[in-house]
Amino acid sequence: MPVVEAPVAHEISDLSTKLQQLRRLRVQPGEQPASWHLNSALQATEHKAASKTKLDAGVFIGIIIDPNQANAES
Amino acid sequence: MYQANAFVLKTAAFNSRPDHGPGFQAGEDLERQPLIMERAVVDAAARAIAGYCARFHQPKALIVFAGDESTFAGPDWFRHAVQAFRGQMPSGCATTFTLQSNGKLLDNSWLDLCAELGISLTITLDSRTPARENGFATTGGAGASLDALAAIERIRRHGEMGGLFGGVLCVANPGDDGAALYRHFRSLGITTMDFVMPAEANWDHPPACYTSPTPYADYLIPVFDQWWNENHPDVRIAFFDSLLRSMVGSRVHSDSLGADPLTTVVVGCNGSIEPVGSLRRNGADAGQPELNVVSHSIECIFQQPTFHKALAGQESLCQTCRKCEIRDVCGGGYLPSRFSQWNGFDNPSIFCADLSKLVRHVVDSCTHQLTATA
Repeated sequence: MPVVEAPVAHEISDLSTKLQQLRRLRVQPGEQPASWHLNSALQATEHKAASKTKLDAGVFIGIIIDPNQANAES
Repeated sequence: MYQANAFVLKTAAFNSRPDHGPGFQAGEDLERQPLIMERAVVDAAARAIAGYCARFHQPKALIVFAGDESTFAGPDWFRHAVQAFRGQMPSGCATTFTLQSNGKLLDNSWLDLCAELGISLTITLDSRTPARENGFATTGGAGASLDALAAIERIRRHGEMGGLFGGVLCVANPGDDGAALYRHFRSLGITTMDFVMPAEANWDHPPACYTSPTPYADYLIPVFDQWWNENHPDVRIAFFDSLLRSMVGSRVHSDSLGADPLTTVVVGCNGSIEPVGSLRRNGADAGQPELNVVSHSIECIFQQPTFHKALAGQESLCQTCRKCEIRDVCGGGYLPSRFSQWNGFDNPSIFCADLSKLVRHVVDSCTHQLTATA
């Protein structure tokens, strides 16, 4: 499960604070994530530095990138 | 230096589209475009893209065959195109191919060809088409093209296509039940899908379905909830993946979310080099010199003001967006959706209210999850 480095989510109220909180999440290795989708997004963040020129798993409007290619990169 | 690693070839364009998919409006300039991209243009595109990838040492490139209906180009066209690219692309650049189709012509011989050439397939589904009364099935409240559904079934049954199925792409239709469509796709075993806003909409041409303040958010939120609650690690909805990534601070190379620079170049049916395909349709690129793969290099597009707008991400946002607390997530949305004749791109997206509602819902879903597991 991704863990929050500092104050826990239930203390958060407004949208900006929630977004700041989400940006401070990190993947906790070795634990099954409560949300696979959020975990996948966090893992992409951790590869962010190396992702500047790569094809991300994101999609352009009207285009789905070959999932085989996207998987190979993640 | 901006870089591109995905290249969309508008393989086929209709001069008129009574049974159109997403996107076309009166006044567009397709009358001067050929119906099918000529082979000489394909060859020039392959040379231009290969030359660009070699000069800028691109390690990989994605070639997307798109357009009104790519398969109208015919099997021989695709055989020629793939050979042209394979013969030109630099050896250090891993090149992959994707074909987008509505499925109408995708019989088994097409699937054999795609398997042979290593072309992955994405099925597009637009339930807004006027022909839906004649060619649509109802899947628990959502319209789906019979052609598309039949094509998906053929792909599933085709022994060699399993690994080359790129999933389904749906244009959001507030008149339908998106969650039902999601469940239907899942019942077919589909794990890769996307739901997108109509690409043609902008402030001059708002979608007709705005009978409520946020019809697209109201369509997409139930889809998100289905996906989120199913919580299957292999099921991917690209638009939601991109939203989550941008929320947690990752880069998103998606033109439906404008927060990060684009890495896509579009080659029109006549060889024109364009930043985002639908800009031309609404006249947003008026006055800019036309670039063409026959006489220009790909990187020439980086000098064009419109491409700069698309590439610049946050730098090009209007004042309203710059003050918005979700600007880092939606990035102002799809660039063409911000356009108006009176103000250019200096507007929020026509889908601003929808994006805002959707983003808030997704943020709340994430933080609720964290609260529940803290």
